[in-house]
Amino acid sequence: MVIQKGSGYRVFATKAKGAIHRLNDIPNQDAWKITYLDNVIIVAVADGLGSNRCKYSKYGSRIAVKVLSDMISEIYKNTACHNAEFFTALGKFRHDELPKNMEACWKERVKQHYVNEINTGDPNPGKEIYELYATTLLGIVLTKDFYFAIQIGDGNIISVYDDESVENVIEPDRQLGVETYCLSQTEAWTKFATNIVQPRENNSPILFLLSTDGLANSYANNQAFYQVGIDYLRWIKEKGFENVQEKIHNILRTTSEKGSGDDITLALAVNDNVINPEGGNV
Amino acid sequence: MAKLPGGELSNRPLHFFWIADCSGSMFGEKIASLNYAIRDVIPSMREAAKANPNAQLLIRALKFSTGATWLTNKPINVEDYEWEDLEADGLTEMGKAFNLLADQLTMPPMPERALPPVLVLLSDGQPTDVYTPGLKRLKELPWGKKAVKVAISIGNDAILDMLEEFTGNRELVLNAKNSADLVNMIKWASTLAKQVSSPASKVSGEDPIIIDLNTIPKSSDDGEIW
Repeated sequence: MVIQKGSGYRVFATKAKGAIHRLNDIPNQDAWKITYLDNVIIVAVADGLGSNRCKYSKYGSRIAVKVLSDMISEIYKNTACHNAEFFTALGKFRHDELPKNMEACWKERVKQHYVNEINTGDPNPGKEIYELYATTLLGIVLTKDFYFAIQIGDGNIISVYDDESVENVIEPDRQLGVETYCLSQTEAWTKFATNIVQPRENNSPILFLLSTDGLANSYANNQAFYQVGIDYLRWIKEKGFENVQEKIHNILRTTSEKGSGDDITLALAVNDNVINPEGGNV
Repeated sequence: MAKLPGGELSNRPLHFFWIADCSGSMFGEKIASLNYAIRDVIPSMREAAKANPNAQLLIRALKFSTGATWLTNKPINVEDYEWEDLEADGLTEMGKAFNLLADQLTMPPMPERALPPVLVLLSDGQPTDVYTPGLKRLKELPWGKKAVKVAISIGNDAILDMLEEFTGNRELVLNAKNSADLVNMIKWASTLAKQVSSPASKVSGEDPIIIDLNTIPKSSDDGEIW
């Protein structure tokens, strides 16, 4: 579990092995990464598919969160760490160049991993290896002026406002059953969804929640899932940020046991003003 | 433990449908074997469901002959499910069964969050009604497309091409040539619930089959051929 400061938000993330995975001694295939750049925070979460056909997906998810972090960091550095230019660049690249580069970079790194760690006797494996590493990917970039979200496949990014209204930052990949888009697909870049928002003054979300599908699938419907964001916000307001952090891993374990049985990764980004209502950024 | 964040937790429902031909040609050993086999597999389905508490296995059965009827009005949790012996008589109005099935696979009553439903069709003959509109309707539904569809043809009179229309895959049309086959195949079909209930996701748009085809039992020549 990690806490990062900056950009007006505090962030932490953790993952819990799914109840079914514990029962069958299968590794947790989720991954998460938080990157802090001056006044920008990048949060990435990925869910390796975990079926027999995706036996290296725990590596695929780790590679994916690193790729997201590296790609966004590169754009940030190329804009001289200037928020307005960073906003413009993300707006410009989000539909085309960024997803294309993320897909290409993930596939290249997967190939390197396969050659270096899995099958060292095959220097030039074919594209069929990508499915072995299949993973979803979702992430959010938080700055003082705007937020940017990107996602391929299932999982959820929601925002919660001070009045406890909840929104999907990106409309979730609503495929019935167990299917999802993922980075291993041909032309995966076409399956990315993005959103970039410059909130009006005094109308910023005060909490963002990113989670793999194991969390939402533990609830009967969207409303029950959205309540998770509201309850965490209330809890943080009442008992403090640290209190939530201490308990969250066990909560996710229990949620998986009583719900989906799947691995669950949860990242929460909370506005500093919620934690320090007297003012002053940490 | 204090209340967990969020609304009520829920495991994902897995709807399992037995769709049984009860036309007159099923009279005798065929319907008796079908009744015996399904009743026999229910305890093992309960055991499999206990091993995966994160899926809620719900069963119901639909019979068709002259008309089509649900044996229970609502899906029943496997824990409480009991097979009700069927009797054979009448025509083979499979189209009516497809329409009833389509009604139940529409959202609602089907929830958006669920595991892919399993549809097991057992028939020994060709439909006597116009089945294509009902089948088309069923297969165009979002859950109709995602459902795992298996057909067991009983004897040699069922039209395999028609059953393949239902399953979308010839490999998922099993041919029971005798009582032993039928019992084996129903037993195998009952294990589909376990195969489908894994929380692992699969890549969208690729091979739609999410079950292990290598485990499908083959027809045998043991016993008297129907």
